[in-house]
Amino acid sequence: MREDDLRDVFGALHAANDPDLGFGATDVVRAGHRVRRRRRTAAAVGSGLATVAAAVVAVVLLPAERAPAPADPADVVLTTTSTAPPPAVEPVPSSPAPAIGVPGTGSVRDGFPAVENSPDGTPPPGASENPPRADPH
Amino acid sequence: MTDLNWDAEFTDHFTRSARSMRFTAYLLCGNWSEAEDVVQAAFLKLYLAGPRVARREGLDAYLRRIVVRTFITERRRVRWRRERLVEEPPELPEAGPSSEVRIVLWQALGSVPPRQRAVLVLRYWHDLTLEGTAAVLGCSVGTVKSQGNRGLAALRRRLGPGFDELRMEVHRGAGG
Repeated sequence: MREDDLRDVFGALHAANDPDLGFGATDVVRAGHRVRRRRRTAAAVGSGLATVAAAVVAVVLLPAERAPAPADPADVVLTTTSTAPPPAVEPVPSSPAPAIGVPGTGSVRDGFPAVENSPDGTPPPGASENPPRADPH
Repeated sequence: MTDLNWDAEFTDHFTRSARSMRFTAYLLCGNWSEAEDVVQAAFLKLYLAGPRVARREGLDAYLRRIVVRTFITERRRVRWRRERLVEEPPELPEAGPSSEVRIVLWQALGSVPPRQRAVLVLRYWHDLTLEGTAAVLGCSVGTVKSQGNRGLAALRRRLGPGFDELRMEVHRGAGG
C-alpha cells in the first residue's frame, strides 16, 4: 500500500455523490441562541444561589463571632477622682453696706461679726468654727 | 461586530464550507450520519465562539480544527460506551474502475485508531504540512510523524500482502 492509494480513495469518494445536508445555517444559529440563553439563565441562577448562600453563611456565622463574652463581676471597685478644679464661687455682687462696727475689733457686716484670718489663712487663736455655746445651766 | 453581522457572516461561511467540512468528517468517521453530527457540533461551536476567536486563525482552519477534535472526542466517548449504534452498515464508495481496491482500502481505514486516522486525512487529503497537522491536533510535530507512521503501518497490516497483488490485477484489468 502506497500513500497515493489513500489520496486516490479520498479523491474518488469526493467525486462521488454525497447526500444532502440534514441541517442548515438557520438551525445552527437557532441552536446557538438557545445555548446562549441557557447559559445566561444558568449564570443568573448560579449567581443568585451564591448570593443566597453567602447571606445564609453570614447570618449563621457572624452573630456567633460577634456575641459579647459574658462580663465577669469586677473584684475591685474602681472610683474616679475628678482632676478638674472645683467650680469657682462667684462673689455675690452687693452694694456696699455702711460699715457698722468699732474700728480695731473687726468689722460687723449684716449684723454678724467678721472673723479675721491671719495672713497664712489660719484662724486666730481662740477663734473656732463652733463657738462655745452658753451653758444653759 | 454586532450579533446580526456575525449571524450573516456565519451563514455565508456555512453556505461555502459546510459540504467540504462534512466530507472531511466523513473521511474521519466513515459514515455520513456520524459525520453530520460532528459537523453540526463543530458549526455550533464556531457560532458560539464568535467572530473574534474564529478569525484569529481563519474560519476554515478553526472549523477544521474543531471538526477533527470533536471527532476524536466523540470516538473516545464511544470507546468508553463500548458500543456504537449505526443506522446502516458501513457505507462503501461508489462503484468505479478500481472500486475493489478502494473498497478494501476504505474498509481497512475504518480499523485505524482515530488519532492516526486524523493524521492520515489531514496529511493526504488536506495536504497539510507536519506543522499544520500538529497545530490542528494540538500536539508536537514528532507526535504527528509517529502517529502517521503508525497509521500507515496499521493500514498495511490490515490490508496484508495480498493488497498489492489485488491492485496490480485491477490495474491490469482496467488497462486490458
